[in-house]
Amino acid sequence: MTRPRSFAALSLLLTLTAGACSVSVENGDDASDGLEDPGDCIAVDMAVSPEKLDLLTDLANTFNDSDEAEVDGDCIFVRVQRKSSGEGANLVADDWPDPDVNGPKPVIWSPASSAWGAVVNQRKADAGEDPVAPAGKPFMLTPLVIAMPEPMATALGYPDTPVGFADILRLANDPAGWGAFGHPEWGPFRLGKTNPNFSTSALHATVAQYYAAAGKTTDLTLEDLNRPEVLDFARGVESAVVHYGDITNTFLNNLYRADARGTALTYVSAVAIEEKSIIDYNRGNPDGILDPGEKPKKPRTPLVAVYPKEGTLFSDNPFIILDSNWVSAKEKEAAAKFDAFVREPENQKRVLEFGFRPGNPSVAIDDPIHKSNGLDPSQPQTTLEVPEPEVLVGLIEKWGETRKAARVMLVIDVSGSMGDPGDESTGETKLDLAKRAAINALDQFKPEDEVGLRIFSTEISGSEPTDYVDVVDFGPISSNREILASRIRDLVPTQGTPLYTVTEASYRDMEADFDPARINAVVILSDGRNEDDRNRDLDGLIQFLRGQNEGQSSQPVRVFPIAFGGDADLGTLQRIAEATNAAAYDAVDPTTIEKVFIAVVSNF
Amino acid sequence: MKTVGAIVAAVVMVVAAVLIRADIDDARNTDGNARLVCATELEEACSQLDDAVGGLDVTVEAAGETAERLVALPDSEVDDPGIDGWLVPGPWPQIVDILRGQQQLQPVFEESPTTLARSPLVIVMRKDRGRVLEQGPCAGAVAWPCLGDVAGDEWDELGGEASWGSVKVAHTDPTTSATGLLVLAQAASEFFGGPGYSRAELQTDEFLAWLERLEDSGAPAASPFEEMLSKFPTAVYDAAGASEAEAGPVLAEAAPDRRDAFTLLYPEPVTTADVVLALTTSDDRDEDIADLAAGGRARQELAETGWRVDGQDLAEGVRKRIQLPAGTGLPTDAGVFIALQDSWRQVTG
Repeated sequence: MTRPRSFAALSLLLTLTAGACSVSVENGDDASDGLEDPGDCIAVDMAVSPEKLDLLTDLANTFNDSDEAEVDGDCIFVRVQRKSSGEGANLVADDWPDPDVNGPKPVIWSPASSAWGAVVNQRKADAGEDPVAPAGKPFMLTPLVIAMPEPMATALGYPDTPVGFADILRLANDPAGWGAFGHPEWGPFRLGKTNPNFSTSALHATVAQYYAAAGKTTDLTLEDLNRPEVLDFARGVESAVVHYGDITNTFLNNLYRADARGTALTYVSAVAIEEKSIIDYNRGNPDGILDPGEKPKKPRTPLVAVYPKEGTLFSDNPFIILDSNWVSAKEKEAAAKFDAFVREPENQKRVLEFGFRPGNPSVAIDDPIHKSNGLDPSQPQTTLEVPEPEVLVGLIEKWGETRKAARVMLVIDVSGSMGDPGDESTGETKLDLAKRAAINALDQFKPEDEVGLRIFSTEISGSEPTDYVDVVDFGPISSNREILASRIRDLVPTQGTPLYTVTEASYRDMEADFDPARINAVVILSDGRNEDDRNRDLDGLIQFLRGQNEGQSSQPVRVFPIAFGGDADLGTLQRIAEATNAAAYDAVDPTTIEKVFIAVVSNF
Repeated sequence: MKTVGAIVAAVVMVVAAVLIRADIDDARNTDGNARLVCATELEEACSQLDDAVGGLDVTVEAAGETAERLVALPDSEVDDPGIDGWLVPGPWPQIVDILRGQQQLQPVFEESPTTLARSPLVIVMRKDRGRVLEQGPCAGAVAWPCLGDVAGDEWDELGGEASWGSVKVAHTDPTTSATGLLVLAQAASEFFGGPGYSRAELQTDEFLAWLERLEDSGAPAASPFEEMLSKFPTAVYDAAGASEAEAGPVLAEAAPDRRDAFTLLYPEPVTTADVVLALTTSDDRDEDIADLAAGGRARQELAETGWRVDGQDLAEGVRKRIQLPAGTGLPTDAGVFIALQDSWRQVTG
């Protein structure tokens, strides 16, 4: 049986925006390696968002061994590869170029939300092409929630008093912070929220925030987005943001570590995440991935789900059987068989094991969607309508204007090893690649963001400090961009890598001019280990950074290191990031630096 | 130079003609199988039919897509429109031929398609919301006129809970979905007090205002009923129009919490979706398709998936006590359905 393109089902979950399709690296490479050979079977390749990789791989293995894996006498072999929703949308819209790099062209694409399918179709329509992503049925569901450490939620009246974005706004605007609720020791209200250009949960949170601001649950309009009180509301909520970023795991991992040290309540007060992430966190598995041998340990302070009283949105994880020209009728038929298989009640019960709500309504919402895990199966009561495409475009643009401003010091390693080859195919050095990536990433800042440039290498300067030089002073990117780009373009490799010295010095300098209205951060790109005989005290550096970052009255500067190239000291850079409740980024393959740099700048 | 140009142009035209013909031939039935197109609402039955019956090529797509393609078909291709039979709730085949007639094109379907199965049109309703409406604004049974009147109102102003938000009513897109169009016709019939309304009445300010209010309350969805169930306990919609065949079996199989939270309302007078098998006027139409209409297999599969078929058992979730009218209870002129689609487009922009 064939199912030709369907134009019918796009009505509700229409497009987001091309801007929402930016690439996300999600702190790891997409797992397309090691796919099994399907032999003579019909290969049904799937590209799925990361949170369901393990479950679907497991279900695919069961299916492949079952009698159901058959069409007209031919066996079916389902293969699953991980692909973040945003990147998947880009690839499908671009007809999935370069399968050697991006993995095989999928027959089924399963992003986190149906909205991504609409993104692709909108982009196809913009290009005058037919849609390729028909509506798919939800495989499993999880609503966006505001996750809060239980004592904080309780202070707001949880679970008896409904809480929403309006309460967050009040707290964010209150100079007394948590003091207004009898807990001055928790400091100001701090919100963890990712970047809606990258993250489905962030996009949903931003939509929910604007609906709350407009006092609506449906039909958000462009006029709403431009109402002064709506913009004030948005700015108020964003002002409480700790930093942004591409994935919510950054917040959960940092919170988990802070919890172990007993400082969870001063790191972040609330995080906009999907309900299932709370289950993972409360199980002691904050990123939802258990490495071999890793034993989860429950946090001291659990998170609870606040279902925004103004309403929320679901990630519905559709199975989209693509209408792309590389998908044959037989592959579609085979894909439909697997789609039916995963919807069988027995298999739908398995989604509960992973913390999701079943897509098949014949399977009841059950454990672990339970109050003992900080969740409420009788919530949410109100679902928000996904806005029309042009409204979503406007919403993303407004977010770009209303998001919290940043003050960022770019610190770039110009040690001798940066002159080593970075891309054999082009002959570019690592520094060449880094310079291009840094220059391109400048476009991701908003005009008001203040950015400065520091370079470092041993004895780079004839006078103190000898290990680093400030080549561009802080200034708004609107006026600084060209000079930053010019100076970056001029960089040349020199001596060794005084990593510890420049990290501490950069932190101190940022702290000295700390601006509480902004995200204060250092982005440090390094391709090697610390090569400074005068300063080998890593433990001292970590202790210093952690000491500066903890406590309700701290002025936290986040350090986001990029481990660049195979010789980079990723372990040390991760410790530096964790000490400042930030995240380290992995560009061990130098050719990924552009993607990684964009992901880093998504924090601002 | 002109001669060379003319030769090149001629060659290009010949090559193009050959390629186009090849495409047409590719699309034709080359393996002798009967080609059946099914409306999306009948996917499950057609899938089973495909597995059970040999010599059948089954395609499932939204009725509006099939219609769009057939309406655009030039007369030169009416002898082979690409399908032999269309299994779809009526009156879509008549709509196609009316729209073709408006363009002075020949009809593609034989007259009087065979009705294979029926199903009453229902309103899927959250029980708690339904109770509020029965005791308040609807003053008795919930039906479309009342739903249109309260659509978009805040529930707390109607006696419901503030957390329910506004009254949200949905159905599928009547320009593409067979059920969506029938639900809209049912709603209009109730609004006008019967199916005898004229095309002109569909353009009255009163009707258009009512329809706009109804449509503004909830965007059309691919399957609002399934969305209501899968996203329970949240109320994506409070009420949705559907056929009993689509909603009844799914609700019967739903987990207890959802089954208890929803009910099917059968507005009086009962109206129905009638599934027809429309045969094309194709010259080389495979006779198997006619056998399919006459035989019992299609009826059996339809009955097993929730449709009512004379002589067949009712599927789980299909109510025994509902009496169906002799006709559909909806307008008999397919042109009225086209006018309804126009009104709907008008209010939804």
